[in-house]
Amino acid sequence: MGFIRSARIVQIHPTRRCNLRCLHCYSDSSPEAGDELPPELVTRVLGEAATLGYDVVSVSGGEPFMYQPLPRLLAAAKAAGMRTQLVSNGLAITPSRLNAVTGLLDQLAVSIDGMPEDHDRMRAQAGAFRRLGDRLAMVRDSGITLGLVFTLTMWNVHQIEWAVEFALASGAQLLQIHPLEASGRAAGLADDVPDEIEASAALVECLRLQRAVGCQLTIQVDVATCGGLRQIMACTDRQVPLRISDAVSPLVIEPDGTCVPLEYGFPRDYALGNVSETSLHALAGRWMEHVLPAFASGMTRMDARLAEMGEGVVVNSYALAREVLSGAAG
Amino acid sequence: MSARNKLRGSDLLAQRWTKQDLAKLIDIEHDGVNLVEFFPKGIPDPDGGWGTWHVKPDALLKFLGTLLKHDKIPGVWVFPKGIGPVDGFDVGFQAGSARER
Repeated sequence: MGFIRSARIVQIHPTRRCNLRCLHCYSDSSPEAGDELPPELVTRVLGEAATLGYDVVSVSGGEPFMYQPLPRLLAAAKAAGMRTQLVSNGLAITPSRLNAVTGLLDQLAVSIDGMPEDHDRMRAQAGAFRRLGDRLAMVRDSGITLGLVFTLTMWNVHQIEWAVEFALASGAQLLQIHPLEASGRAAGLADDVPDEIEASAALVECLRLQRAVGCQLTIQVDVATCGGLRQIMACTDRQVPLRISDAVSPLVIEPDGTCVPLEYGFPRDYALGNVSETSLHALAGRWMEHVLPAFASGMTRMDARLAEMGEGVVVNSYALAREVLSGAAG
Repeated sequence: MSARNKLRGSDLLAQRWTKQDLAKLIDIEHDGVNLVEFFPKGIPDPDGGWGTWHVKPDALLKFLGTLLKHDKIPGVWVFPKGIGPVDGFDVGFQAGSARER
């Protein structure tokens, strides 16, 4: 059920505070946003997530480096036996902040939104791209695995080749191509969300570039053909979900404690509840009993939609799940 | 610039093509694959075009693999054909100066 791949990820957004105010921010983060999760709560939730079968924690935000207890969060994840990843805009990285997470952080991914001019425009800050250079070198020299996350829009698939060259020059080992999501502050950017033609072009371009660079760089593109996605869903369908991690990955914890499946802001009909009010164990148990049937039926509808669309059509799986499941929980 | 006037990323990708790239593309020969339409652009000296291949279901993956061996990939899209079971695919492409269909 769902589209579980090898890792079972809990994605935590401990704060909406950010040093930037990016045009495409799905969580509407900014320097003024004040809500954040208490560190004791985060420690408890990560411990519970590990016992529920989640083995990777991915920290996002807001800007994770603006969350003071970040080292404590990562230490709690490590103590629970999880691998740790973090997505940053890069500009809040300082030597002391990096030093505080070295040994606790397995992978640090920095977001880029295209070539320098496009990046600065999306970040609403002149010179933002130029100032990334020192920070990327700092990460590389710290020994933490560096990744880059490239936001795919309607207008920039031709820049993926540049992004690959930039990633190689920066010493990155992963380049993730993620489609723009029209939520949060990006709700007004619906015309910029890549359609099927751009998603297809991105998939083909990434396959070509992966072949060209070989094992120097892993290129991951967050779109899939309908046929490929149905195969992934069919593999997980064969198992009866015993725990929530068998059915939902990523599991998302938002800055106010709301816990939802799959992605930030996912339709509230499918929310588990709020981890600041109830334990994650209790929320997960209740979800498996009361919401899982509606989620499973939504996934069956999604499979039917994928079958209708045809095997070779390329889709953004999370956006399609949100659309198909939206407002349909019983 | 408004979204209506802007070029898609895949249009800009397609513009990277040269006449030589285009010639290699339309010369592809593959079992189960037929180039059924091709419209050159840039008369009298075509430097681009758009077209469609009809591809049998069992030839699709191999054919896409062949496309990937080219140095540059044009804008490519794949549409399944048939009601119920898929009985073939239309693989369309645009390359070079052809930016619109």
